[in-house]
Amino acid sequence: MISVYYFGAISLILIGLYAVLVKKNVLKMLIGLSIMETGVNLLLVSIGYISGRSAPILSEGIGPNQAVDPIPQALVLTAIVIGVATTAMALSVAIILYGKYGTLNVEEIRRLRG
Amino acid sequence: MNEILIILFTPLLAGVLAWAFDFRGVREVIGLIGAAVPLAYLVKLYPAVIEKPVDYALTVGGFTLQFQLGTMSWYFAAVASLVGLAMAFGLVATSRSGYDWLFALMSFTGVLGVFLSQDFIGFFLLWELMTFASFMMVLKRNRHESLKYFVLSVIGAYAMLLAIGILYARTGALDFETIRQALIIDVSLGTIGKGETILLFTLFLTAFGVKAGAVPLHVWAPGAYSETDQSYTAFFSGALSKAGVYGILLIYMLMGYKLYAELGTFHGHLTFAYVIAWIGAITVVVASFLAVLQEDIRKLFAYSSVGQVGYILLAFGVGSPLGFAGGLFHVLSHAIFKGLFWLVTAAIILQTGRTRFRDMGGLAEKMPFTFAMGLIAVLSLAGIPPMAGFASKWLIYEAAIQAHMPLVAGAIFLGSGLAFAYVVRFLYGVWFGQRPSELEDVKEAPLPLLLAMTILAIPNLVFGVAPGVVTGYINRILMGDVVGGDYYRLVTQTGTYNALLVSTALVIGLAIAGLVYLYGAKARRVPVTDTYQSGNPVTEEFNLSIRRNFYRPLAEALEFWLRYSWDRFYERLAKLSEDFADALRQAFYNGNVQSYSWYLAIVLLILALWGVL
Amino acid sequence: MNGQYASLLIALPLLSAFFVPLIKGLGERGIKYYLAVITALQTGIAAWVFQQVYSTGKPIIVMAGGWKPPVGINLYIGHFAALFVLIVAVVSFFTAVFSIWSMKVQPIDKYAMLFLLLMLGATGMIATGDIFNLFVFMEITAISAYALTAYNKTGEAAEASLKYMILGGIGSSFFLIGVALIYGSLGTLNMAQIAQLAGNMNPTVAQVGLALIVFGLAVEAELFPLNAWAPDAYQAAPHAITVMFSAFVVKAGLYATARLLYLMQAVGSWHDVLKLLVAMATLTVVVAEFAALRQKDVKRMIAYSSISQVGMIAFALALGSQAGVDAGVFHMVNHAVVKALLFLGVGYVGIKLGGTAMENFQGLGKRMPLTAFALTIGSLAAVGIPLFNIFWSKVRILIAGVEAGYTWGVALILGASVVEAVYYLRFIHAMWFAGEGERMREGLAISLILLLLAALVIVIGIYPDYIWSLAQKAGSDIFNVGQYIKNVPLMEVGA
Repeated sequence: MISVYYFGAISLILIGLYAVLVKKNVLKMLIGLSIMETGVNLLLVSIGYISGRSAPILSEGIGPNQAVDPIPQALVLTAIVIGVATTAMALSVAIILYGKYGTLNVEEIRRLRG
Repeated sequence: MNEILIILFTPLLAGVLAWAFDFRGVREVIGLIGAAVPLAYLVKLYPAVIEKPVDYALTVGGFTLQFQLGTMSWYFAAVASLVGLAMAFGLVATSRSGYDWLFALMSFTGVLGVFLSQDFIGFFLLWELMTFASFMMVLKRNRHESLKYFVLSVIGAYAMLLAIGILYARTGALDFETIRQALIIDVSLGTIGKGETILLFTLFLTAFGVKAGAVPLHVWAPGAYSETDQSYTAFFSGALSKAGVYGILLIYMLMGYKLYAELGTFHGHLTFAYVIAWIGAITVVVASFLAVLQEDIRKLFAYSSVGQVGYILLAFGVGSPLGFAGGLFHVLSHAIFKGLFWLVTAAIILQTGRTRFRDMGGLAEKMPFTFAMGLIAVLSLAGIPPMAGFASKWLIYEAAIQAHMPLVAGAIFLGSGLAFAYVVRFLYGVWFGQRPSELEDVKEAPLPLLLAMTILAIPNLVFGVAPGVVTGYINRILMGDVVGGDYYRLVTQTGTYNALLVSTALVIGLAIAGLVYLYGAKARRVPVTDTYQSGNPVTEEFNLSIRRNFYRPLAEALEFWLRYSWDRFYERLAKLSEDFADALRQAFYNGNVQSYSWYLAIVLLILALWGVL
Repeated sequence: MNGQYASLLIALPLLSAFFVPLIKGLGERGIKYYLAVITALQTGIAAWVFQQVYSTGKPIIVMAGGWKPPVGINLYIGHFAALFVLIVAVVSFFTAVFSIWSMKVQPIDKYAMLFLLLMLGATGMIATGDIFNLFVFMEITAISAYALTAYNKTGEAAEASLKYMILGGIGSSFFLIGVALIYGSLGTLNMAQIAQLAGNMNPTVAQVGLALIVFGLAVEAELFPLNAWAPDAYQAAPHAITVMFSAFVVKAGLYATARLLYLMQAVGSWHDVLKLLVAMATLTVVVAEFAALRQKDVKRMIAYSSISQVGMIAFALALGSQAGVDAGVFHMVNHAVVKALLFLGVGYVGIKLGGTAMENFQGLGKRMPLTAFALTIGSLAAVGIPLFNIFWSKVRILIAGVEAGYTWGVALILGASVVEAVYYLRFIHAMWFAGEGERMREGLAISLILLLLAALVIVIGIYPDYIWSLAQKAGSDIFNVGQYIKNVPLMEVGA
């Protein structure tokens, strides 16, 4: 059961990596990056997942022994925030790039080289 | 304060001060004091040194730097200090900037440090300092030549560093004494294999060969020696090149037994010494030929200097005590005659602004003192008694013959002949003959420069007439009665040279010749074209006067060999690597972030394939 | 005083970054001076921490909220962190002063915020004792670095920032995977505890985790071939920021790599990872030196040189010996000083003369002699001339390298150093012996900083003993993992 999550996470990471490596459009590359991050987050969560337990929110009927490991979830929350920040940053840079270069094709955005 | 520290760092300190207080008069006085102090202290320490070595240790950056003034380091240091003092007097006349003083004196400190160091860290540090300072002297005037010099020197220095690292890794020591003993013990232990021993030898040979200007690592020398202040070249060529020679001695001292044990002998000679001897012999021949063909006096002396240092290498390569004695003596004679030559050149350039033979002539009347000094240098370099140059060359020749190395001895002979050929040209072309009209107003060189020349001329004469003074000291270095005789006589197993007798005969001969000249000679002036040149009539294209293409027939005869030039080879190599650098960065840093991502992916893939993932 | 005040090192820049919008009313100058004051304060705190750690010889452990590790996140300010936090603060102070004069592009309040966050991130990366916390600080550093790279708002700046972001993004994702694997295997994120338990890990998981972590950090640490973003970012970032990149941002990455590497030395394939790192580091040096050889832009040239020096540090750190780590730390200090000097000088010239192309540097000795002098000292030091500071650390690294059996690596690095000598000496020649120019006025504060740094280069070069003893202590802080574990007051797991 767990392995499904691992498989999914790794697939997401590879799909993201594929987009970054192959797609020429900067936006698509950034989307690939986001997919990759999602995959990583999924991996983190599934590492902390214990089969048959609920979310680690202390409430009625759910004590420390009924919940999954809370640390990965905390980590994922942080990672999501970081991911959002990075994506926002990247998109704003992409806007500037489009303004200055008139294109989003990575092969044409290469004034700095050598 | 310890004397050794004073000897070492006074020049550097004086250089920094001269640079900081860059006013006419002030910097010269500071500089002269700084250059004089080492010699004064060396003289003062002489009685102590021959009793027992003077030591000094200093801790810097977790390394202990050990310095020692033993008999050998005293000898080298004294030679360098003598030339250094002469250089300082020369600089008073030829230099107008604190920059020159700073780096000239910095390299002085470097050279002294190299000779006095007893461990590899100090040795390397001061070696680099010396290289760097001399490089800065050249950089000011010529970027290309200075870089050529620096790149070769740095390759040498790094080869040495690598060797030091290997030695440290194997023996755990950096000081000479421990390394020496460890290597002797290692002969029986065998932790350093044959391959590694050869590697060490090659690395050291590269390092010291560059500095000594051994073929094929000599290509920096002509450019660097000529493209700097010529007063400084006196030191550069006279003392700095000795650091390389000293390094060769160091190979003997540290690794001699190990090299013998690993490499054995070849036709009755130590194999590794044989290599050194042949490098020396080739250097002598190649550099002497090239010197003959030069049209610029600076280039001529630069090649000549390379060739003369080749003699020293050759002598050390002979490997017998007599060889060492001859080599050590030649260290002194080369320093004083070549230093003198460069100072004479400095005077000529300072007074005339010319450097090429074709622009000169008849200067003897205008600069009689400089001429006299030049004559002494010429006699000494050409190996004509009673100058110091003869005594040392004679010893080297004796050594080669005794060691049954006829080919090597032949190289000495050929080199001497060629040396004669080029100094004759210098002697006649610059000082005699018709004077170009632009040189009518030339005056004698300024006093400091004349003083500088005198400082170096006197030992040429003194040690020429009394070579036993030097050999007596060298016997002390080599700890044995290698060269017999007294002050005026040198006695080896196969021959005797009585300097006093020869000098007396020469003086009498010269006196007779002078009388004949005064009373019997009639000079007649003829146009240059009214002469014969090896049977050819003179035409405008084939006009070989002493000032122009004098040795062109030789060049034509050597045409095949001159097509191959190490210099061009290195230039091409340098260009190739620059092109490679361009190609590399254009290909790798191609500006496309997607390619960059691929690099990351490839590394991940490698990690995966490699079994980590 | 209580050691817990060391948490101010993190708190001060964080809080002051959030206060920037509030003081926006003070105007542009006000914000710049605010920045200088805060960095000066930070320097003071860092100096105090440094003094504490080195006089007592004990690390300061800051426990967030009073929770003992591994439950609470702790800061570990040992000899290394104390030294480097000080360097971060001092360099930040210098660049803040430099920014007062040099930053013209608006919005300056955002600049100040990002500046402080960058400093915070690097400080945190060096000081933290928790691996996920390390990730967070790394991301803080990275995001502020992305933004600052793009700050000039030119096309080049945006392009460099994009490259940095994509590569950094991939790197940090894989780093996080590595963290996840380690957590999944050990159930802890505390670095001391990871070190304690590393030997018991499932070897495969440990290998993969270590490899991924090193991979992720190597992107930040500019190791070949993961460093392609670096020259662009260095070139396009504002001059002040380039100083920070080179002087401590990359160092933080290097430190994190080394720290985690040595913490996990119980992992089976540890020596293989070291070998891989040595190979990468050697290639970094060689490729970067060659790339710098014919650069026409001085800033980019020095950027490549910086990368190569970083490669040398990585080489030393990856040797796996005490001597290597000590030498690497020593080189880090020297490199921070020298590169701060060079980038400040180059940036100053770039602003004064309108660009950092090589032509602008011709005749600099006549136009701006003080700056040219400082740049010359820096260049000579970078080449490794004796009596300048880098000489000592370079010798140390190379000897340690041969000792560890990497003679080939040392030989390659030495070969590359020859190339380095060539381009730096050409640069010096261009400054002093080529071109003409009128004497220009040089700003007092910047000249003072430059001369101070130049003096530091020479003082360390002549008297390296003090810094070397610091580097040794800091080095053993990284190398001696047993001591590290002992220093962290771990709660018994499960208690």
